[in-house]
Amino acid sequence: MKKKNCRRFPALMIGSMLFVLPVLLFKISLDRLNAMQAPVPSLMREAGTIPTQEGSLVLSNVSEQASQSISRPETDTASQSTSWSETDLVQTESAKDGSPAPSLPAVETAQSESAQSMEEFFSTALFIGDSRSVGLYEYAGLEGADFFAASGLSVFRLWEKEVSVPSVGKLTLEELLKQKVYDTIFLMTGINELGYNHTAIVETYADTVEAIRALQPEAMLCLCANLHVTKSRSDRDEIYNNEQIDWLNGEIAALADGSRVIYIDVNPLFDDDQGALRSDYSGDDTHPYGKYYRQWGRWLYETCAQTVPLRQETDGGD
Amino acid sequence: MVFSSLSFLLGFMPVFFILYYRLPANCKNQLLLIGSIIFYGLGVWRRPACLLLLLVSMAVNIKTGRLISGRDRRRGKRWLYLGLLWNFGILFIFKYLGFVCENLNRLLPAGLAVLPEKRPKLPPGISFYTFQVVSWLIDVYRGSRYDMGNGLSIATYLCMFPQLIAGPIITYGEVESALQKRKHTLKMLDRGLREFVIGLGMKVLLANRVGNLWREVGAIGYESLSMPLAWMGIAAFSFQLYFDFCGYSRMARGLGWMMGMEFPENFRDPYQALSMTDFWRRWHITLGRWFREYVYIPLGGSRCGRGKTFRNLLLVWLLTGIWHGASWNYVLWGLLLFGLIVLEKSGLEERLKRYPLLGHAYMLFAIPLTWLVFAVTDLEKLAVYLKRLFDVSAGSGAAVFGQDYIKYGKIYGIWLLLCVLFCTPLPGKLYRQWAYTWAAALGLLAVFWFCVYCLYIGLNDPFLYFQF
Repeated sequence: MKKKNCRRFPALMIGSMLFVLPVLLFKISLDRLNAMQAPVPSLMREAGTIPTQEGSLVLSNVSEQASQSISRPETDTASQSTSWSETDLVQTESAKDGSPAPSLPAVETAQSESAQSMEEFFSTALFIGDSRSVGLYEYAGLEGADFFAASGLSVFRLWEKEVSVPSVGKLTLEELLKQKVYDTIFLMTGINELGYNHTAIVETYADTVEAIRALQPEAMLCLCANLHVTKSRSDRDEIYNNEQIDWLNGEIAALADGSRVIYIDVNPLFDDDQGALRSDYSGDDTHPYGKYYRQWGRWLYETCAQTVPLRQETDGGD
Repeated sequence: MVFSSLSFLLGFMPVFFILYYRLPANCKNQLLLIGSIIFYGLGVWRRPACLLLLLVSMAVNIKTGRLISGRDRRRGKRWLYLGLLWNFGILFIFKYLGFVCENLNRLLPAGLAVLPEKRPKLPPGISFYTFQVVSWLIDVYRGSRYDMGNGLSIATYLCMFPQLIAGPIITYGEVESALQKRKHTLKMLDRGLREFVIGLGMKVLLANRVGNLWREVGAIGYESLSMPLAWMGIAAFSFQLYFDFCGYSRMARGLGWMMGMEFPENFRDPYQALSMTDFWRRWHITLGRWFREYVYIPLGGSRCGRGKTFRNLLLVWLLTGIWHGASWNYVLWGLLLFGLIVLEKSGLEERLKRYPLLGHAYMLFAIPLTWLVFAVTDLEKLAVYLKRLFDVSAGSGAAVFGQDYIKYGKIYGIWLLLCVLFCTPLPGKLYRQWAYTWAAALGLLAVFWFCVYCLYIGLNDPFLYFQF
């Protein structure tokens, strides 16, 4: 069969440009218009359907809670938990006044008698978060912990997205929280939300905290500060920069109550003297290298492990 | 400005070609020159000094070329040396001075190690346009009968936007007649547009996709790679580099055809080569030709005995290495290529040609391993990566995610397979057979708009070769 010669590619290109270009320009202008408007917090629906249990956290006095989040629980073993509280205090202050953060947090390695082993501690822990939580799952060696984590996960899609949780299956966060009981839940989101309307981010994050508390009232909820980016990225990126991250971390810190909901900030572990992620710790200016996740995991344990028995004691006292 | 950007595809390119085809023949070079300056200026608008440097360099070189072409050969030689000094001097200051100072500071006693180590940001395309203009000056000195009175043609040749930033490095002789008089036919436009879209597809749909795997490997950190992922990573970089640079060259060639000019081929299925010698006859052909014409042959080539041939080869490969960057890994890379080529010249190449399967197996290791030395500028990290490539213990003791290759294989496996397919001559053969059918035209149209879509949603990377 003889093939027909088609030398009409230029005509096709020009024709399609004439047709597609106006559509594309319309789409671009529409997207820009949408970007200027705040996203509707998608969590409101879920938050409304989750029964609010008695004793769950009600976030009202934000500034007061912020100060609580960075102060230690008043207990006799408090001296052992100086690490996170003191560094968080400095970090939160430095975020406000712009002064450099300390290079390393003074993590106490000695654990209390009642503290669980690392394996025990993480066997009842859940991590909810984005690519950095994925990194913790893959490289931190936190055996036994569950990870509801996906790259790019944000609080706006946290309740609607189905995620494959290793050894559990593919399910939504609500299904997971109804299915299993956790002692400790780490919430590590926020950076992917930057660029959206600030009020919407904070409100949705607060709703998320409330919803998790409602579903897992016995768990200690650790709100994790978002990791800084390197100075080079911070300097060139209008959205994902350390000023924005510090602002968001400050808002997250304000959601903590210091006992059931705590705020922890790992940034001093990875920061350089300018309060940015150390450039030699990261290959993409955003995530630490795989080998540093172990350090991070260890830090999480050393920072949070002793607060679980503390909380249980406090609960028992109640 | 890059070819694979929406501003070029939907802004500069259509506007330029509408004007280009509407203008009479005697105004096309003016438009090409002005368009090229605008193209370069838009790309460096934050650093206008780069544009100024290009314009000054162009003016100085045109004047120098005219002085070289004078009747007095001795004076011409002096002007040639001055021209070379000017061009290589600028390249040295921007590209190598910081590197030299860094290393001198290491050698000097502590009190004297005060040389400035700061490396200025490279003006885009400086390595390419320097080599191109040097080829012109040398050709003029050698007596090529160029029309030195046609300043417009020379200026247009020196800064034509299709090949200004990343080649191909063309000689004036290849385009002189086209710059003075050229035909514009629908056939050439058609051919050029097709070539441009194929190049765009290579860049946006293949290079950018597999390039993400290489980026992820870098983000994980080489210490934490499993052996399979380490190999996948370097395969991804090898494909990214090829489709990125070959894609750019094909787009440049396509733009040339659309303007009635024939640019030389820069790639000829390099990953089908059976030896490293063969590979470099197929990879970045115009750079290899430059070194052959202006360094290797003037030094005596292979006609002065074995010892001098090896000396010439060593010099060429060291220069090829440092042309790509001012870093020790590029020197090491050049030496590695020299070593392999010497080995092949000692008899290995004949055997590899005789047993193609053996040749492919050899290149299957030689290509990614040499690209690894090229890609990783930090020698310590390079050592770590090499260790990972041959570490069968899955990095016991290190923070390695054992299933990483499964995870990334699911994401990038299909792209890696597509890259393998497009490295073979099969797609080219099929395309040549079906090129002028409606199916091929619609397929290319779909590729173009899919590329536009990918660029629109932000899936774009700068061209790798822009950094050289």
